[in-house]
Amino acid sequence: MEAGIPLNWVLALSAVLFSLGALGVLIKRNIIVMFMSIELMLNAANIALVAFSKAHNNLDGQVIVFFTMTLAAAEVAIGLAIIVALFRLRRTVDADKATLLRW
Amino acid sequence: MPEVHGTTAWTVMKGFVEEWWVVILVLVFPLAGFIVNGLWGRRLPRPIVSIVACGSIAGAFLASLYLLALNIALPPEQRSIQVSVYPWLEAGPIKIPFALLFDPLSVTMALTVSGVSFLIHVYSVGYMAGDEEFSRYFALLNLFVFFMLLLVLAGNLATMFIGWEGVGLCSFQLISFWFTRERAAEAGRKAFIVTRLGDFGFLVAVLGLLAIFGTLDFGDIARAIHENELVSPWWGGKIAALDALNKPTAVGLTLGTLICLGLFMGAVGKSAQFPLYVWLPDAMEGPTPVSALIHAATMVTAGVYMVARLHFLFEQAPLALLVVAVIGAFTAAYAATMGCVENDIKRVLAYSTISQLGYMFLACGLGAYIAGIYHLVTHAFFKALLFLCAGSVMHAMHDVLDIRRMGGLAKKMRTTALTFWIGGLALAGLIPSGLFSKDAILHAAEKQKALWALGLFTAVLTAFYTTRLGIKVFHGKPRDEHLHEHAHESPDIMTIPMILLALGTIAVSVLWMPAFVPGKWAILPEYLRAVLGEVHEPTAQEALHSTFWAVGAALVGLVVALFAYALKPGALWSLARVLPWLYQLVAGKYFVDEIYAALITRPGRRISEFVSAHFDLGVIDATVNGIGWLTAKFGSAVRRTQTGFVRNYALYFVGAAVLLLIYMLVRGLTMAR
Repeated sequence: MEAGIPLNWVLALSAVLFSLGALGVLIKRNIIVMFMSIELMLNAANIALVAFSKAHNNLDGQVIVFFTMTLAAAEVAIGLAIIVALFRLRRTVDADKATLLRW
Repeated sequence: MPEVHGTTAWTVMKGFVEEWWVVILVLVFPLAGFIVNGLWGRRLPRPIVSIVACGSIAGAFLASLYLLALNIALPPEQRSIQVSVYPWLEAGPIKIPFALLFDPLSVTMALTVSGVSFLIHVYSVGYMAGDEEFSRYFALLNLFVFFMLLLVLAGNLATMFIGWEGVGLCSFQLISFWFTRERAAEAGRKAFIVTRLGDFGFLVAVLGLLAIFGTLDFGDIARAIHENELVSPWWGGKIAALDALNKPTAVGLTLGTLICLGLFMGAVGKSAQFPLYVWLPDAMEGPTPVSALIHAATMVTAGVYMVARLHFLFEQAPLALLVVAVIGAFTAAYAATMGCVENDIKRVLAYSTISQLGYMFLACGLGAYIAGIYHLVTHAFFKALLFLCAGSVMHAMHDVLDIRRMGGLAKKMRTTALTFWIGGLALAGLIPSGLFSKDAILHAAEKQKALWALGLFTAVLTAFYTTRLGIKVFHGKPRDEHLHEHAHESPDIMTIPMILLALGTIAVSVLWMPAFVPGKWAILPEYLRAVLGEVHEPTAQEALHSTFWAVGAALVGLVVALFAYALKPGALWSLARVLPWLYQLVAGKYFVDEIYAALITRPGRRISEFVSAHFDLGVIDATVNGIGWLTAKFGSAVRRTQTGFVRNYALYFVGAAVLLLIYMLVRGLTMAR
């Protein structure tokens, strides 16, 4: 990577974003926020992939990113549908209230 | 062609007969009959069931006839052909195909089996007409014929074993056909378990052969033995086949002798020889045509056939052959004595079957395989005939079996009486074909005086009990007026097979007549020579001598029986009074059943009860229950982790991912160093 942002910086950004996303999933109770945090994690991974792709002069990483984005779109469609259905049923988006499937 | 010297050189060609499908067809017909009647028989009208059942066996018979024509058309030394239908068991160097054998011996057997079976099927249509389970009966009968044909047409011991066990299964099913009767169900179980004892020896011997020769093909083993090829037995190395068979074992017998004794153990069980004969008299609980088909004409002859088929192996173990001959001769005489005092019409015939099978083993044990097979064929005819006559009598007498309640039936049942006497005299060895086949065996035994004497003694007894049976059933005054009133001849569908079998009984004698009969009458020995070896045809003088003794012995029995039962009734009872202990011993069937019960059945039952109470409940059930209990406990312990909180699961995810990351980091660092 000549004359640009060094690889490590980008990776650090990716790691920070990923950690924030994971933290969000773990500590937030609002499903929509958790959902957004998951998107954050996905995109953190994307950044890392693109960075490696550029560093190694190999396009595979960027191709995977496209797949990830497609996947994310599909995931959003299904996830939001589930959230809407849950909201209609329970009148809430609190993840800790949906604990029916347990021992 | 290998050089022929001394014993038999039997060569089998592997490969292709142009019309090999006929061999398959012989098997396909009965199997198709079983499938049709077994699956849809209940819904089909009875005439259709009958036509399917009889037609399939007729098809098998015609296919067998065609096989015979094909076989005869080949030059004599090329008549043994093995057809591998498909590769069946293959593991490394061991290759066991599903193979069929097409040779004079198997064709002879297939013809006998399918021919006699066909007539019995036709008879059954009349005999079973009133039975509710008509279709089940015929489905099982067809399946039985299929397995029997598979047994005789098998090209290796593994394929033969399918047939061997298959006929055992069908026999069990058919003996306990009327399973709601306790006695029938018990007789079926007894037959199954007793023959299983013999089959154990058979299976061990088969595995022994596989371990030595690496093949189970009859032809391959015959060649290996005949040419003394190098084989690689399981103990390693390469060794000549005969040396492998002569290898001494820990019990003092050679390996070959042990294997042959194991095989013979199977034959003893299946062919009801001493000491495993006890199942056959009880097997008379089944329908009478079943007794005719299975327990006289076909299945019980499987043991004789097997010994003849593997004669090249038995010849390498003279001791085993001696055992075969001695057991055969002993059983022949032993069973005949019980036939003399039995009062159940079917059981008399059952004992005579055991006795005649003993003759066949005697012949095989003496190396006179062709005489044994000849007696097998003639016996199939006249014994099937006798059983069918017994069935006809039962039909007339409303299932009464006790000959003490019969008598004078000849006037009411002319056909049955006439055909019975033809079969009976053939059994007694007084008219062809029984005369000729029994002669051939007794002639072969002449050199072994002790066995010969036993054979002649049996001939006396055979004539005695056959005559006794005939007189008590068909002649004299009726002993039960009421039963006699209602007696009537059976319908044509039953009498016609009887007439045909009677004609067949006499007709098969053309296959081999003694030397003093003018003309060349050695069709069967000529035909079987390629498989079973040469026969030393006696001179006319010798043949006459042996026939003189055999007929003389039979006449003695006949005259004594006539005297005791027709001319001076009651004479034998006085004999029983003179030697009451002997009479009690024989009439009690030597108390063998009681001895077995005391020595084996009851201790076995007690051990089973103990094991079921302690080992089964205490160990097996406890283990299974313990595993179940443990699983449940473990499940309720770990189910606490399923909180239902999504964020909890996410934490597990992240935690696991972090652990994985740490592991990879550590590993990467250590490896980099």
